[in-house]
Amino acid sequence: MLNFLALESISSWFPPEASYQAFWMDKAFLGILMAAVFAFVLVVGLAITFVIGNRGKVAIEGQGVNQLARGLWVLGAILLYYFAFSSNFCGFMDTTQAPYGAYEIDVTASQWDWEFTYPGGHVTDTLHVAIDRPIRLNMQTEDVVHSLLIPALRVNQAIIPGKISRTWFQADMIDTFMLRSSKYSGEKYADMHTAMITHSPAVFTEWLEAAGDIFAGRTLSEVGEILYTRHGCAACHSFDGSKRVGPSFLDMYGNTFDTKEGVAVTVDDAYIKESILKPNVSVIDGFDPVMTPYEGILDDREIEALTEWFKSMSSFADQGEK
Amino acid sequence: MNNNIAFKYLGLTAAMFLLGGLLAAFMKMGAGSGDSTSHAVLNQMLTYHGVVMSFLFLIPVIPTFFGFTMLPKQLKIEKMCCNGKPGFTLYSVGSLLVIVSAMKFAVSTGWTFTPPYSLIDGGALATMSVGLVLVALSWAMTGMNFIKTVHKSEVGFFDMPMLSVSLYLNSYLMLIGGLIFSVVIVLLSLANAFGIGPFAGQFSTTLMQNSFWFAVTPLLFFALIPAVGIISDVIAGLTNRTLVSKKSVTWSLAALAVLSFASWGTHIDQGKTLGFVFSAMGLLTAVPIALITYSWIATLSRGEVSCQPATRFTVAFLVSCGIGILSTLFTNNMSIGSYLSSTMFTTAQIHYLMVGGVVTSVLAGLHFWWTDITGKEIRVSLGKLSGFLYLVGLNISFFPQIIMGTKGLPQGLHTIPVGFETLNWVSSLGFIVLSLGLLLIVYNFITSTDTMSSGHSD
Repeated sequence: MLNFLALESISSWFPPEASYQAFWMDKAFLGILMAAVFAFVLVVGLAITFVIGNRGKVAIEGQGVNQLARGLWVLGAILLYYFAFSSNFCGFMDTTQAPYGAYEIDVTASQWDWEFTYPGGHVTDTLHVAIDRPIRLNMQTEDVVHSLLIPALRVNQAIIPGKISRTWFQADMIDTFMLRSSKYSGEKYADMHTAMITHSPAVFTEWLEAAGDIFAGRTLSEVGEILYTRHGCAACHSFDGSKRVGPSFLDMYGNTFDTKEGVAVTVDDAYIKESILKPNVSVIDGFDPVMTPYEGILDDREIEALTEWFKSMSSFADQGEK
Repeated sequence: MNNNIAFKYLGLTAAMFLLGGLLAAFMKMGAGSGDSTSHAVLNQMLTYHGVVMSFLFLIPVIPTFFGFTMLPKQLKIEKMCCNGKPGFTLYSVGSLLVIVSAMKFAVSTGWTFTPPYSLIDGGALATMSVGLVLVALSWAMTGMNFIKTVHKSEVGFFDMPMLSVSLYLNSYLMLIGGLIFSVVIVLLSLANAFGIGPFAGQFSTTLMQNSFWFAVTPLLFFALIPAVGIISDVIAGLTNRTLVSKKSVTWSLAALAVLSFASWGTHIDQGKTLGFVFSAMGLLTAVPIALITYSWIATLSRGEVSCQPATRFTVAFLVSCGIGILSTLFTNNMSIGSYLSSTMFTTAQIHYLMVGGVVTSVLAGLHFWWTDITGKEIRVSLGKLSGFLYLVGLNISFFPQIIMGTKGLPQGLHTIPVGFETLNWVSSLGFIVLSLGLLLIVYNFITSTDTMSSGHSD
């Protein structure tokens, strides 16, 4: 029976199994398939046998029902359904909760792109993961419903607007796999695909260090702008001159302001560094001392980058440098 | 009188089936030939294929034709309670409006209208909505008509033949489902046009999906109830005896009609707990399905089975609807089901259930009762040949989609990814064989000849 069903050829119905979850799901699929084939052959086989075999036979009269046969038939159906329902139930429960300490990657889906953000803040358009460690994806959509489908991992999770949809997996195969959306989302839905690239843990760490180095190939000023977005500075500081909770960065560098205590300060490299690391020491008049200190979050090089960016959009830049 | 309206309905539903089929053919050609047709047009075709097939063909096809022809015959009454003309007018005007919307500015929301995408789509959704509401009201009117007709006749619930029982039960689904469906569509088009109502806003996805599937699941997926009614009566007729354990089949259909309003959640992603609840509920369908198949097999086992075209279509129903029903074992499993959702596996599933189930039962019924209804006779050998082509074509067309799905190909892609070319090619070949079978079937009915002189023969 098993040989007849040609397990190898049925396994070609599936993409590669790149995780133990995929392995268990395929096993369950195969089990249900064999049960379903058995039920199909039984029902259709009996029907065809009678249709062909009873040709020209005289009808047997009587309305009696074989209660035992019918009872067994119904019991068989219930067992079949229950078997199909409960197969791989542990695998299902396993997918509902990621293990403690899983590596977290934020996923943003939008028409018609994927964006993956790693813990350090690095952003890519292909998903890079290390094998042999649990990866949790926290997924959000910017517009309509999408669904993250990675066939090799048997992961297919809908992303509903207004919710964070989570899924997790643990890949165990180094390769490049298909990753795409499986929910129709408009014109270019068919193009909403990218790749998942798996690395060994060591290679992944190297990759992230290299790719996550935002200074590589960028000017200091460009890095400053990235840091501004990444650290959420925009919540309180604009760079177009408009006033938010804190002062705008436009024309700030080199300019002179009065502090609350009435002391005149010129915004130079030292003042910027102090305002980032110990922001509530000398606050410019008109603003409240409410900023979170960034000591231990931004290092000297990053502060230097921000300073360069501030310079690039200030008409007083040369005054600060004196 | 009743036949007149029934044939008008049959003509219109057949035209809608042809339209939906042509759209499918164009999509297959567009997808096969690369980028010649833009994605936008193919998305519109996919939307209209779904809308036309589901709402203008599958839901009305059995009740309208078999209701108006067979219900009075089986209940032994002169005519229906109402003549069905207002319902037909609503249905034709509604269908026309749906087609007009395609000409104005084709909708590309997909046939399930999932927001928020359906709210930002620029198509003529308002026109289509008016059309769909009219069509839904025509279902409700037809349902009302049948319910009143059955109540007025003297025949008791358990004494009715299975087709009448199933049409009676389905009438409640059409009445309730039709009214809820029209409300859902009105609210959707309000949200789309003016941004008001409960479906407006970005976060309405879950509410809209729940309401939509609550109405559509009984109407569409449980259109299999009248299909089971047809096949039961055809099997009883082919073996020339009453159905074994008919009462259990009647109860099973009633149970399925009740379950139809409790199983909408299987189509929606709404978290693991509710997924578990709805999957567990799916287990309940095992008992009625087992009772129905047992009755059929037992009936076939006990007597001479006459060999005619309807026999071929009954076997075709058992094969293809059987595959469809068994495929729900996979989607009802929580881990496998979530992987396969909105892949080609579910496409294959809905086609096995709706074409393999509903359409095949219609063909079985038409072949079996054609002489009774029209007094004309079809060519038996052509009927058998077309039945064979139909069954083979259907399976070659849709089985490859099951494998495409397990391999992880999502629905609605218009470019065939690498590795799926062969499967897609085989599926297209099957589509051609299926179309050929259907053409022969239609030809056979159109050219059927009067039997007044020759009388009944087998």
